[in-house]
Parts: sequence; C-alpha cells; structure tokens
Amino acid sequence: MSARAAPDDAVLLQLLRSPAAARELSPRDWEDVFWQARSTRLGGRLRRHLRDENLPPVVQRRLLAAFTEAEYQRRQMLWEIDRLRRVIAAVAPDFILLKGGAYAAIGLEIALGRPAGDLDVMVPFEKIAAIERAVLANGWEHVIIDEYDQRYYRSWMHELPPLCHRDRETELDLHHAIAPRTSRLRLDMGPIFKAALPIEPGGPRTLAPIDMVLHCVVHLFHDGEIAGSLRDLVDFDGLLRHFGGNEFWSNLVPRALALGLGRPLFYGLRYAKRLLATPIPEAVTRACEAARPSPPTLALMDFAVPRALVPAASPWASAGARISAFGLYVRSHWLRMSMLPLLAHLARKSVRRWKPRPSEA
Amino acid sequence: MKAQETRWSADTQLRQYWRCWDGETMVFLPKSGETHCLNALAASVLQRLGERAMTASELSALLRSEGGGDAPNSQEFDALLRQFDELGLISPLA
Amino acid sequence: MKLAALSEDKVRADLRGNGIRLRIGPFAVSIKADDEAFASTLHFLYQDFPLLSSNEPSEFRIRVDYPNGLRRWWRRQVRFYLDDVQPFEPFPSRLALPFFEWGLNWCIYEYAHDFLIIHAAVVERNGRALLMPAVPGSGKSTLCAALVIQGWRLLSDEFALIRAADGRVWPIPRPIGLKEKSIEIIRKLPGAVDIGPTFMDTRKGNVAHLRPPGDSVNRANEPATAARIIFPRFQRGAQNQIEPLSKASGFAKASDDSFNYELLGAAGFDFLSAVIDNSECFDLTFSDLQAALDLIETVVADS
Repeated sequence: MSARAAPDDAVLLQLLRSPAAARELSPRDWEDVFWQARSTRLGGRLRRHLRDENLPPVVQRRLLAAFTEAEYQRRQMLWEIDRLRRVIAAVAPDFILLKGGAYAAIGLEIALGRPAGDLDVMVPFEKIAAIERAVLANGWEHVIIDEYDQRYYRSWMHELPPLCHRDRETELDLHHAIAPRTSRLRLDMGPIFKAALPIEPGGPRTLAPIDMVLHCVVHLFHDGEIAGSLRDLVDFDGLLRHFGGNEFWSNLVPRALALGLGRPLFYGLRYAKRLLATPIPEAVTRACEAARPSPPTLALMDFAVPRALVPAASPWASAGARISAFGLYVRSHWLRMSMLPLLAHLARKSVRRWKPRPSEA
Repeated sequence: MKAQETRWSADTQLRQYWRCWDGETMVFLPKSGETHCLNALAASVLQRLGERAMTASELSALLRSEGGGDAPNSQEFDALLRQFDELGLISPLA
Repeated sequence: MKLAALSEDKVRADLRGNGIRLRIGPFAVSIKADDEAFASTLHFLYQDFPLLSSNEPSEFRIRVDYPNGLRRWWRRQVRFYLDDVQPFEPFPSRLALPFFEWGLNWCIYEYAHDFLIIHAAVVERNGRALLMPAVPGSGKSTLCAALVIQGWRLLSDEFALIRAADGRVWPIPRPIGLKEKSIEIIRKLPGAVDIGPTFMDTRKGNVAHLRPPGDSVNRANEPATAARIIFPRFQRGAQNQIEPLSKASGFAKASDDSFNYELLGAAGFDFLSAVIDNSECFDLTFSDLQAALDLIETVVADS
C-alpha cells in the first residue's frame, strides 16, 4: 500500500467495506491494518467484522488484544450503569442512556469490541439537581473542583460539569439535551424525550432508533464541522444496518429535518456510503437532498472529511513523522490485602484509565 | 422496625470464579470486573447465600449454630451484607 | 537466519533503509533507525535473534529517528515512534538503545492484551519456571542476570506472558537491563562476558545490557510451566531472608504487578489462578546478591 494512497483506499476501510478483502492482503497491508486499527481504535470492531475469515495467526492475536481491551470497557460501562441505577432509582429510574452505554445495554453488535469512555446519561433539566445530589452522596465527586470554574461551566455550558466516581475512577456525564455542549444548536428536546424507549419496564431508556442515529451523526458533524472520528461513522453505519427497515427509513429524513438536523444527516449518509459502503435506500438519499450544502461547501467537505477521519499515510513509509504526543505511562496502584477484618477489595487501578483520546467525543 | 427483612442472594457467577487456597478465598465477579480476597467468614457467608437466599437473621443464626462463638453480631452482619451489596457480590431478592 | 548473519554495515544500511525485521519472543518487530551507534549495539545484543521472512507482517513498526530541524545536528536528539505515535519525549541520540528497549516495553504493555502481562523476571530450569514479579528497584533484573549467568534459561527480565489457563509462561528473551551498581556486580560474576556498552545518565541512572544467551533465544518458542513465584525486594542493610507466602497473597501481589490483569477480566482470573495453583510463593528480602541466590536455591531445589 503506497504511502500516498487516497484515504478511501485505506486498507482498514477496504476491510470494513468487505471482510472478504482480507484474503487479498499482503504482509505490508496487514502492517498498515495494525497501525490504522490502533490509530482509530477499531481493532475490536474489526475482529467482529472479520470473524468468518481465515486470518493469519498474527492478525488474530493483534485483533484479540484490541478486542480484549475494548470488551473490558464495555463490561465496565454495563457495571457503571448498574451502579448508577441503584443510586438514582428513586429520582429518575427511567434515565436515558446515550451512545456507548445505550449500545451496550441493548446488546447491539456494534457494542462488541467498541472502546467505551464516559457514561453519558440524559435526564430532563428539572431532575438534574436531585440526581447530582444523589450521586455526590454515593461516591461520585466533581472533576472540576474549583468553585469559580464550576460556576463558569454551569452558566456558560448550561450543563453539569463531569462527575467522577471516587473508587472506580469512571466518568459520568449528565446531559439534558443531545446537541453537543459546544454546539450552537438548540434542539427541542420534548419529542426526543417522549420517544425514548425503555430497555425493560420501569428502568433506563434509550433514544428511539431514529433519534439514536441522529444523535450519533450530530456528534460527527455539528455546526458544519467534522467533530467526530471514524469510529463514530462506523457506529452510524452499524446503527443504520441494524435499525434500517421500512418504517425507519421513511421517517429518518422527515425527523431530521423537523429537528433541524438535516445537514449533519446529509453528511453522515454521504460519507458512510462513500467510505463504508453503507446500504442506503435511494429514496432516502433523494429526500436528504433538501439539506444539501452549497457546491463550494460540499466540495470542501468531500476533500476534508475522508482526510480527517482516516489515518492517511504512515510515516513508517516516509521520513518526517507526524507527531502524536502521549506522555509516559504512569502507573500507580494500591492494594488492600486480606488482613482487613471483613474482606479485601482487590483492584489494580492505573492513573491512565482506558479513556478516549482528547480528540474524540 | 423492619416490616420484612431483605432476603439476600449471591451472584450465581461467583461459583465459576472461586479459588480457595489454605483457607483464603479469591473470587472474581464478572459483572463488576473486580477480584476480592475473602477471609473464612466472608467466604462462608457468600457460599451460603449462593446455596439459597436468606435474611441477615437466618444467616447469622446458621453461622452461629455451625461455628459458635466467633460469629459476628447482627450489626456487624448488616454492615458486611451492605458492603457485599455495594460490591455487587449479593443482591436483594425482589 | 539470524541477525548475526548480516554484517554490521548491512545492519546499519538496512536500519536506514527498509528496516531490520526481527522475531522477538512472540512478537514480529520492524526497526528503522538512523543512528550509527544504535546499529552497532543492536547488532551485538540481538545477534541471535531470527530475522522475519518477507511474508511475515510485523506487529510493531518502530523508528528511532532524528527529528528535522536544529536538534538533528545540535545536541543531537532522537525520538521513538510506533508508526506515528511517540510515547516519550525526545532523548539524546547516544541513549537510542536504552530508549528502544523501553519503547518496545511500552508497545507490549500497551498493545499485547492477548496476554496477561505480569511485570516480572522469568527464568527456567529443569522444565520449571521461576517468576520474580516486582516493581522497579526491587533487584529483579540483577537476580535475573545472575541466575541466567549461572545457567538458568532466560524467558524474560521484564514480562511474564500468560495466554491460557494452563499455567504456562511464554518467553520473550531480550537484553537484560542492568542499572547503576548492578552493572559492576554482574560484570564481576564468573561467566559474565556479554555485557553491552554502558549508557550514562539515562533517566534511570547508568544502564547496560546483558546479552541474552543464544540458547535462551533459540528456545523462545518453548513456554515453561510456572512452579515458583518469588517476590524480591532489595533493601540496603536488610537481613537476607526468604519467607513462604500464602497462595492468596501471591495471587494478590502478582495481580498488583500486572498492568492488565483487570483488563482481561475473567480470563485474567483464570490464567493467574492456574499459575498460582502450580506455584509455591515466597517473599525475598535481600541486601547481598550471593545470599539471595543461595536462598533462592533452597526453595527451587527439585522436590
């Protein structure tokens, strides 16, 4: 694979478009796959995607490693939901799970091997204060502790600053709207809350399928910018494949337009089809033309989006590397041994938790 | 005070990830991803609650009849069960 | 074919060209580097390592590279890259080899979750593996080097790699990193011949590497079943002693010395349990190397 290949031809995308492409890959191609999978954190997804292919043992091992790491995060996410449920059952038993938490809770295929970060939960604005009190009393604490910063965050962002669980070191983000905090978009959340569906009676809910899809795409493309990552586009593709049916497709565009999310949907459909070969009914593409941007804008996005989402060229092949700073891995740990009177809690906590990188949502 | 005492039951997956070496027990709880080291009392409690659901009183009575003097009083017991509940090792039956 | 089959000049040229591709334990690694001294030291320390065939993809593509700009020429620096990722700040080019070693360690800790990884030295004798899990500064590398010089097979001075609930540990024999006083202590041992250059003033003090014995490298495909776990702790002036440890305590301490035990979930529990099932565990405190070796001998003698 040449270092100057077009983003669309990235070998990772070839595999995502068609698992059978694995049969044609050269050793150099597989090396690029490893790098691209690490870079996009799609190794776990790729393992699921290629599960019916006969892969060389080295490929199986690398994908297993990525899958293992992601699955840990998925399990932790489910546990976090379980623990949160206990704590806010009295105040908001039907809180809405967003993104990775939702995908994991309803057992979607795309949740498998998907690295998860913070738990994103949505509740009506009126309930936020009570929920905040409940979680603060049960082991969660504010991430931003400075009083001034707190007030600034709340008044500027109209949001609750993120919370972190003291022992588990997991982050909880309470939302009351689905548009990103930094977006200029102000959606009418009424219909969205109303359409949310329970996973089981009386318990947490997820967004209705169409809203889930729109939420995904609004994080990818809001305010005309590319805010998300290839993983978000892969989620979008997976959601469309899972939920796509007659009723879904006929309501998708009207709902998007009604909520003012036509443009992000337009981009989502266009680039999912182009990069991931997502099957989208002709009628839906046509209907979405209503949200088509001007030709210069579209030309710019056509150029920029693939380059923004796909790792373009590994500096391995050429001199002059693109630098991605990480910082040294820092390890701290504590151990409570069985000398404790009742029982000991064994956990290996690392300072650097398995979190999404800063550039990801 | 208590209209109806809570009946507790241990997580069924614990059985599969349970190792006892020289009187000390290590268990893994898949849903929380946490590993715990239990002393004899804690192990005994979890084992019993894995066999059948019980209230704190029933459990306390059982342990006292089996092993005698060392069984904790009901206050200590409640604390132990609450901690197990927090960690997800046991849960109350509806 | 081994790296030794290539001349040093060829190695240097390949490092600057398409790379040198090596099998390092279970991992296939490609290396590119500009620095001359790095090429020499690599050629020496990795001489027994097999070269990958051209149809084997490498899992880690590593560059140790001069940056562009001023630092290419003045107070020359190099950077470690895994493809486009740079886990460390740039470092003086004279320290390229130690940073390569630490960088490769980083790659494994970060990406080798197909294994349960315990931060431990592992050696083997008579089919039984001895694991020495420890934090840095505990003396495990010094002990490891001494045992290897005495004839134990080297599996690793850094990682116990476990990938099934069968009690087996997988080898990744590599140059053993020695720090500060250890360098002289090991150099003085009879049979200690193959120590590479000393790198001064690294972040961890002075560092040198003991070349892994050819036999250990040749047997990198042979796992060993864990039989003993000794947690070493070097402490100046302390009484030398070795004490049995309960298996549960051994489990707890070993998992604490693992970077990814939690990550592996149930599999981690099963893998580690199998190792503990088969092993007797000990705590070792020592201030004198020979005394420590003698104490180790008392607990590893065949039963």
